[in-house]
Amino acid sequence: MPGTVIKLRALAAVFAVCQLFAEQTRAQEPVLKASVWKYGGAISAPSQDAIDSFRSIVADKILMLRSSLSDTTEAKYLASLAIDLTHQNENLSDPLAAWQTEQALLLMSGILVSPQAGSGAFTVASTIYIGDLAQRYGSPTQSKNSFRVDLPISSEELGTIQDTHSLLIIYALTLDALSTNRDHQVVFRLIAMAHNISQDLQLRGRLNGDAALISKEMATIAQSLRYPAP
Amino acid sequence: MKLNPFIAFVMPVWACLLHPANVMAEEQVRVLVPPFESQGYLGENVANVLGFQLLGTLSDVDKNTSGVIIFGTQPLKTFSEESAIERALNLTNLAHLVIWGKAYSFSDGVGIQANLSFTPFRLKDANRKHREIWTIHVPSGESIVELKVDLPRQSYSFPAILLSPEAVSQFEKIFEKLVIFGDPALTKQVGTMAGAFRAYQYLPDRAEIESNGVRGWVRLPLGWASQSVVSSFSAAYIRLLRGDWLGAEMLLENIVQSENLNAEIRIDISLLLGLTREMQGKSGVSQFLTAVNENEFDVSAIKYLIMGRVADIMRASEKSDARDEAYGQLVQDLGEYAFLFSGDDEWFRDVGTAASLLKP
Repeated sequence: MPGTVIKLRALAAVFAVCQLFAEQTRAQEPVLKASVWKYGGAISAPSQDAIDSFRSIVADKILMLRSSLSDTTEAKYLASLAIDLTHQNENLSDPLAAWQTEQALLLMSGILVSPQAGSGAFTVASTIYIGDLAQRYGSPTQSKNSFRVDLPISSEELGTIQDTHSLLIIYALTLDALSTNRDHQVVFRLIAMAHNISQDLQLRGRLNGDAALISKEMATIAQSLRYPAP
Repeated sequence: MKLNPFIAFVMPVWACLLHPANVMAEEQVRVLVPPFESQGYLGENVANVLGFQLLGTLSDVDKNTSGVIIFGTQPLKTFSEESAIERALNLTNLAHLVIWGKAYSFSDGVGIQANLSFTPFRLKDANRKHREIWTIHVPSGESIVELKVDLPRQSYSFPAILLSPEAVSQFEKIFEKLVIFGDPALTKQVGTMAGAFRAYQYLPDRAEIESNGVRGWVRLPLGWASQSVVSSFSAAYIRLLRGDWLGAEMLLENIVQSENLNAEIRIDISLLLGLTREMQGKSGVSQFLTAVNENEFDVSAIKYLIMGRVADIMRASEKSDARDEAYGQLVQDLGEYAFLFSGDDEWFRDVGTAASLLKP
């Protein structure tokens, strides 16, 4: 009898796993595309390695964000967040046209700066373009559509590269969610995550420039949703 | 994720039925640690060291459960949570947690990104008692209102572990040329370690492994057992899933002061510390408030706080000042944080019903 019980338990486990895979193969929402364009300035092998590392860090982080954001029913659509490397070797000359043609959530491009004597690490100036998302939402304080972060590509800055780009992507997702009237629970989830990332950057002394601007804008959005004007 | 169900299931099912004792005999908490993505042996060795650190935290708690660490031997197909969970759900693993990661190379060293993910099997495993789900029953005439909260998050990304080029070099060779002995007393040499290995048993200073075609015991270098944030936090979760509240509390108290924490993990340490207190019949509200103060938009933190308020009311004596005070705080919190819940949120509706039943 114990053998039978064990086999039944084994079958129950198999059935549970079948259910899990069935859930994961359901129809998907339209793609929320982060489109990567050329990061110029990479001419030597070490600089190409640096830019490859940078792209890999950001692409991996987008995949991680996608998983952690999309685990509720209301936020399921965020599982369609994807990175598109089709244009990674093309110069981004007309961001608005590319943003519209690609129907992208955001475009990423930038330039690699060689290390100054003695510093050792390449620096990337990364630009994120979000088209007219802020205007669509009707942000009262923010009308910028392009944000720039300058970061050394070094082991010590791994967390900061991940966090600044996560913050920019979460901001774009928040504006998208607001302009497409997504459930406020989704927006507050994004706000909560942005708040945590801002705290981490602040503790490292890296919440500055456009990252600080976006952190402030997310706080403004949070307050406007929490205490809506009568 | 597209899977061919035939390929995915038929072969592993047979493996499972032929070796049922391997997976199904008792309530287990199973953790898979596949090799981290990297160049060379670094990723494999990082995963193995984390696995050994986790083994060192497993304790004999009288809960009819056991913790099992599965040392993965194959890297993930892709560096993604989907891939990690797919591997963990493989019927030869059937893991409830998976620790996965990647080593990024830079000109000045390596940054290691480790992640912890719960698999959906944690909730679907009929052999588990799901002790980690906090449930409160509020009497309502002849029936009850049941309030439940699950763990605060399904996945974590840990702050990067930084290794200098010298440390990378040491890590790559950490398992090389360790002498394998044929007996646990380490008296008779039978071989040396090389490349990948599989672990079977762990003692504080030695482990039974198979490497290079030889199975036997190796003496672990000093310092291996020292815990990292990744292993301590993951180990705390293993203890929680096994219902070892005191053991989990000890580990969480140890890492809460660490500087190498991000906000998300700091918040959840507070929540889990509060949870362990509640599970031991004490109030966890002060820990929940710490989490809420760190991020008042965190729905999990708010849910834990509200559950804590309800638990405080139910622990207090009838018609006592403590009960009146806890009730007042519950009502205040429900009003203050209602904006985080949609109108049709079942949990929030049930808490509202419970509050009306608990009104003094």
